[in-house]
Amino acid sequence: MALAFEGIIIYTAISCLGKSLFFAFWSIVIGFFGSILPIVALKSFYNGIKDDVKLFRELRMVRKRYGSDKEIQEDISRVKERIESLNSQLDKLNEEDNNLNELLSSINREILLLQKKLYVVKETFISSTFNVEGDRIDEKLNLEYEESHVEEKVQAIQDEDEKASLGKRFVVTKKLKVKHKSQLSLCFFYGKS
Amino acid sequence: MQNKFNRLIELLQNKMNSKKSERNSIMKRKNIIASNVYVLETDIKTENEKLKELESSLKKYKLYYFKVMGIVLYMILASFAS
Repeated sequence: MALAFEGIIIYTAISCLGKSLFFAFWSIVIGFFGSILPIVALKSFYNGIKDDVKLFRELRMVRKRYGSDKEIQEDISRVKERIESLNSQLDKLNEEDNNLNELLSSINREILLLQKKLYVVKETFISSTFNVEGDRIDEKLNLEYEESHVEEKVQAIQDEDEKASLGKRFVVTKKLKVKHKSQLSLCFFYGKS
Repeated sequence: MQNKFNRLIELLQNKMNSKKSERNSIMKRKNIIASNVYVLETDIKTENEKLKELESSLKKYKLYYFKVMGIVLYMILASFAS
């Protein structure tokens, strides 16, 4: 119909071309819009009906699935309850996870402390015993002490401690005299000197 | 003295081992919790989707009645007009 209308308009325009150029121009313009606009209107009308039919089908499907809107509301409340319970479970688990994280950090701190202590106890215990007999025990003991290079060992440990910033130590030197024998032992402990 | 130190070392090592095993058990528990959290989050996601679907269904249900009533009203009015 639109094409027929367009044909009529174009025919009129061609026939009037010789008489008036103005009339011919307007004939073409009207012919153009006269053919385009009905097509657009029909298309939009068709699309609207198509959407309506689609929506109606969907609505009928919902209507068939549920007997009444109460059923849907019951389902909704059921799902909401389930979501709430799941959320509470999730909160509990997250709380437990946080507690475990705190516990883990404290355990890690304790392990570090223990490692430090172990390092102190393992690496820094030096004990030297010199058995000296006879006269002039003190002199002999001092000589043995100098020859053993204990002081150098002590210095090396203290240097390492300084590097690791473990604090200062104090040295306990113990001299034991048993009759004619004499013993000297050295122990290293942590302390505030 | 050395014996005392050795005993102390042993004690410290035992303590450290127990702490390490405790840490491992905590890590295991944490892994279990992480997997449970993942499952729960997926469940919540699906339930939320279901909820959205149900809410849209409720809207559609109401719209269906509104449209049907509109058509019926239109037909009554048209019959009166004719």
